[in-house]
Amino acid sequence: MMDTMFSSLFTLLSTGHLMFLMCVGVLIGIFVGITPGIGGRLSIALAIPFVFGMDMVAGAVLLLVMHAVNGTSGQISSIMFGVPGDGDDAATTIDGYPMAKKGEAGRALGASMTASGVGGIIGAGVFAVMIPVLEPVVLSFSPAEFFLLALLGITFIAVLAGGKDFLKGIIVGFYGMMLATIGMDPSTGTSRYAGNFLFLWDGLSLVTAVLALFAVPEMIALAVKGGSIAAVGDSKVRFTYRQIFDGVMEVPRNWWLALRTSIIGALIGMIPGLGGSAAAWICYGHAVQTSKTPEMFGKGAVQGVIAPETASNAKEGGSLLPTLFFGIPGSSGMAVLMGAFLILGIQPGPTLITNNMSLVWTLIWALVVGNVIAVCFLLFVARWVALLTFVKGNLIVPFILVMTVFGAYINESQWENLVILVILSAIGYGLLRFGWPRAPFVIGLVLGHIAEESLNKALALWGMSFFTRPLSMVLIGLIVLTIGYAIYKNRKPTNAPSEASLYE
Amino acid sequence: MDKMTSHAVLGFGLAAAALAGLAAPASAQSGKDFFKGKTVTYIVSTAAGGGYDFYGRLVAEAMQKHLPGSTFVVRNMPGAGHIIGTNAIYASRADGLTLGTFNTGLIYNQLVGLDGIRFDLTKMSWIGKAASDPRVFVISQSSPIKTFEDLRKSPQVNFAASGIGSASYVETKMLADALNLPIKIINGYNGTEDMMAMRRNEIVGIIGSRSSFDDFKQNGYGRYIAQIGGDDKDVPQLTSMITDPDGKALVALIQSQGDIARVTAGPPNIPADRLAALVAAYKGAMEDKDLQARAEKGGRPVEPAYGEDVAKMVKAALIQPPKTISLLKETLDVKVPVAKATGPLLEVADKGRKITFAATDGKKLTVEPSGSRTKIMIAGKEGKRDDLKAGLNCEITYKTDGDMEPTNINCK
Repeated sequence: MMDTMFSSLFTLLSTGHLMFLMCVGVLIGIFVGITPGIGGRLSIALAIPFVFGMDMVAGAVLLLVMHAVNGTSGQISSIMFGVPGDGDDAATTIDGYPMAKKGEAGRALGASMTASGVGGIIGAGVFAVMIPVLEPVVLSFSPAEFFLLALLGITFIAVLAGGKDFLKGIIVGFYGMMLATIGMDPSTGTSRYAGNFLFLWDGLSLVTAVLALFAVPEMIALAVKGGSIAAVGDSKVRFTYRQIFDGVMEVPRNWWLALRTSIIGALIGMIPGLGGSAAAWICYGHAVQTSKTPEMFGKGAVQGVIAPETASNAKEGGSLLPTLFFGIPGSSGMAVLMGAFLILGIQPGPTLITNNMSLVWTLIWALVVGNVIAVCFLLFVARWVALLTFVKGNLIVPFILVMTVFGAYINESQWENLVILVILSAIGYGLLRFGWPRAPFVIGLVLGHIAEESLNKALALWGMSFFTRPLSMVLIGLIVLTIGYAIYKNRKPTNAPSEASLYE
Repeated sequence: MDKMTSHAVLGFGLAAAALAGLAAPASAQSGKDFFKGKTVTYIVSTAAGGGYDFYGRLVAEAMQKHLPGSTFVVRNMPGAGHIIGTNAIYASRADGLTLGTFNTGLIYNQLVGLDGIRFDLTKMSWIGKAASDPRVFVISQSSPIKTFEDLRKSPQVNFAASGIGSASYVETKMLADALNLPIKIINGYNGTEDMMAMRRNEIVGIIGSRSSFDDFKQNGYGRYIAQIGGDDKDVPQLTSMITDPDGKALVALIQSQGDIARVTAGPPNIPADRLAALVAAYKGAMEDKDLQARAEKGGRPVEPAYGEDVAKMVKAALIQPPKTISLLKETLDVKVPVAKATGPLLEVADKGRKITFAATDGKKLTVEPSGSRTKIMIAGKEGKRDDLKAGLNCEITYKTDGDMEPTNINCK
């Protein structure tokens, strides 16, 4: 075991063309991550023709690294411009963008990139540790548990929307859940709020909703306000590698949080059916809940950046597990990756452990090394990237808006989504303008759908008795604790976040 | 330019056109020339990744090779269970520059005229199909069901399907009803969730396409007990195990649908010469060693058919006996599973708010009719709960899950 483990690392590092391919993979992954609307899934589908002739290890390493570092660069636009690329990046926006507004973009970028890298590495570690116990752990999560996990995530709305914002947060969260019901109801086959608009049959596009709720309002606000994103002038003083390094150091300073959120993220990634966005949001909620200073969240708390970023990269390692060892991919991105693996001659399934453990270890190490390369590269360029927040707003706004429209369209190539973008942007700007929180909306939209679908299945399978399953009881306990905690916090107004402090 | 020359040019042009028309009516050669320097859009009706995308990209790339000078661009138009993409292909200009691929399960949608479809599959310009997709009954390894006969005799078991209205649901539901199988369908399993569910033992089986489950079976997670279509010898054909003619007709429909998988088609009325060129290029693509090798590597079989042959298969699949169509309609309309019991009311309590009768399984069942939702008819007239009396002979339709609330009570 140990032999294979280290010889794989050695082979990986000492083989020139593997390292070269990893660098290529990292660069493509970073580029894809920055562009809103293009997910890792599309990039792999497009890369498949190129890996046809490659040998097994090289092709697998290239594709895996490409997919895994997506999240590392995705947060750049979330932090810099409040423009999340997709559902998981939206969680980073909540604290990352306020940090940029305070002129701390460098610190936020340093922290988030390091967190991504650390998350990716710990995720790979969880992958390695979990191999022997994979089966019982993964198989103990059924639709009943998915429902309760989603519900647990939704209760974080209550935690996030503490203080005077409590009611507003709940309203916005439920509004998100309501919009999550748009589309074909899988259990009755009826179209809900979708009529004959075919593009709504699969539900509201998450990317469009996230862009409309976060990106467009921020850009309108910036245009109205004038000036640059960073509200503090004097870029020369505040913009150095030192600030970035300060951000990097935030991760070891918050090592306990980073470790926990990485592990939670990897575990959520491991369970097929919950989806990546759930990981980032559940970890963000966890960070707020366990913080001694929850009132700082939403105003630019560095922990609010670290938690979702560790989670979203750690989940990659986790989701590789069922893909490789059951041959059952945990996400649509992994499904494409598995298709590519088959082409390369890798036969995912339980026999992989016995037959080709050296390949498995090479993939684990590729996750680690790929993440390290991505972080080093991004930290190096972060200084220049971060300078953009000091550029005058009226130069930035049109550019970002074009990117936003592009992102909303390209994801499903349906023009109707642009109409949705405009409508939801109006709602998003209204929320921003009048100091209503926006994060609960995305949580409601992301998790509402999972909750509903899983509840339907759980009821059909076990009837009302589904929540007496042992794991379900544990989750119910957690939900009750979370709600109890939120109520307790609200009774001590001094400790609760003040109005409009979250999600500014 | 003076008048003379312009007339001459015009005359020459007309003559040339006439000559071309005479010389090559619908020849593949003139069609082939048309595509030089043109861009063909190939619409894939799903998101990137997955089987349709894989075949689509493979076909587009190889067709480009066999139509010299052309450029094929793949465009993903996912949504509404392939309907969005298919509508787009159907509505595109019939110049041969837009083609695409979609799930032939849409045959079911067209048969019953479901919402949202703006196409007529019989009118499309069929270019070819790349594979056959036989269906299999997959049973989880841990289940005691080893053969189709075991399934028939077994107590009720859970089968997975994706959403109501999807091809997987339609097929499962129709087979379960027509063959009287003890299957309870659990909806909403998308992608590979159904495999995970079988591993967790919450689902016993699924009726799915064989190519998707071969790995699952190879990994020792499941077994096949029956197959529809295909020429594999390892699994018994479903038709050989059933005798009921309606059931056989249904199996034939599913088989014909599975035979036409991974299609490529264009909008109606593509000019004949261009269509011929496209079919020829498609044929070239399917016979291309490179494409075959790649498909093989991706674990995707190639079993092609071309042009008219595919059109005939589609038309044949769309001609179904009224009985099958009504079965399909019933399947797609069902909102809530209900059961119908006939017999006397055994007990009526609380002014008709609680009634007891013999349920379909013969056991006594007590249910609570709703004042607003339950329709009560007594001797052909609309009645109220008060009017229900013990001993009345009634036909009671009630929900089979949840609170078992009756939807209709029809008494003599």
